[in-house]
Amino acid sequence: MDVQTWPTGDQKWVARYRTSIAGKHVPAAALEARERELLDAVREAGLPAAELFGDAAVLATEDVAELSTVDEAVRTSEGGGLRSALREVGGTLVSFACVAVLLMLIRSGWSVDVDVAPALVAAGVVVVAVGWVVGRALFSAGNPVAMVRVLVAVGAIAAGAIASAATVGPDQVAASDVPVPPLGIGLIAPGVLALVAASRMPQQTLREDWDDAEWLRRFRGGLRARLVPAATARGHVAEIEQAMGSGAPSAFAEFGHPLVLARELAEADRTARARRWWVATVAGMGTPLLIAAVILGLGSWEALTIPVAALLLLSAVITLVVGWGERPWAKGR
Amino acid sequence: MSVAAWQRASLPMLVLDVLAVAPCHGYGISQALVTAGLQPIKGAQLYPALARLEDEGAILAQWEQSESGPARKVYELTAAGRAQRGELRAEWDAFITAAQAVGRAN
Repeated sequence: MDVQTWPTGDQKWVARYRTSIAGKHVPAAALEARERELLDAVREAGLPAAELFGDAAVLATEDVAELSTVDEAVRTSEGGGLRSALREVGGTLVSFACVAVLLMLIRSGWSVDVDVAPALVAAGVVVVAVGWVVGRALFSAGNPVAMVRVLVAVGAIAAGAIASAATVGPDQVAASDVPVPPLGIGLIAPGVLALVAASRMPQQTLREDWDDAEWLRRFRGGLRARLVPAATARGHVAEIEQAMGSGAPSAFAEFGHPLVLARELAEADRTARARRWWVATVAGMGTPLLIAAVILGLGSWEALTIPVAALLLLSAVITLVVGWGERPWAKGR
Repeated sequence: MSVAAWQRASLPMLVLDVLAVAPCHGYGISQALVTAGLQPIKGAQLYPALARLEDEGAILAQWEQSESGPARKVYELTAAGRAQRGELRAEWDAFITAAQAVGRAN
């Protein structure tokens, strides 16, 4: 729904409502219907939305609880298809490119000599980062075999790049006095293109044609991807097989999409919830701390080394504080 | 609101009601609901509801070896589940009483 449809005085309120509800797994159709309902109520009452419904963010939180669906969560989150993976690849490429451009500007000014060996190593690192994103997406999609294949392939490419860099040696220059702005644009462009392509892709729909064996494989993979213990996952699979033996027409017809069911069961598993919390908290804290240690060790940001390391440290502390507030053993279901 | 929607909303209470009679496996719970005149419940709704009740400690799941076939997962009510069933039943009865009062007033 176009925001202009709303009375001028309510448009800010609607924008805040939309921002608060975005990314919370509310299907577009449900959101559209809810907004229409709110607009009708505003027109009928002849009152501003803020007066009629109160704070937009509070209403959005209540509506998320009512309208969000696991189907939408699976469809839009990591592992939900090419769109989400491409968006994350784009974000990774843009981040790497921005850091590279900043480092070039800090260390070499407006022009730079491109050495072959560091360029090969950097390319290897980018391949590993992109491969990691793709591998994680496949793992989340309940496809661990494809994930292993991707990780092995990117590992081989990265090893090849590093071996080539070692063979070439440190003194070989690919290009001298390259102006940083066009080089920077060239580095950032692939990531931006990936993000644009992702934003233009149609909304993913959940697959509906499954044979039972594949459904069970993906269901098991989906449970393991949500960190359900192996024995519990085996139990769930056996129970589904038992139910199918009792006359269910097909796994999809009876149980719906395998990743949706896996996600719901994983949400109800205490051990899986605790494991997901630990992984998210340790990775969220460990990654910035590791990067800060590397930056401090190498002094690669020169005058900005301490501020950048301090920002990373702050990010780790924020992750810890936010994570502690979300710790599963202190939360009721 | 359709019967299926009412059934989905009250599923935890219905499951606890079935298990209050005797321990049962998932398919048996579904069959008990149908026998009582309710609509067949899809596994996509039943199994997450069972997992949530198990997580809350309201029911306990155990694998039971069957004589004629593979082992079956059987659910039984716990003491906490009996208390939860009592609370849900009281809420449901209060709701029905109030809804009937509204119906009679009109």
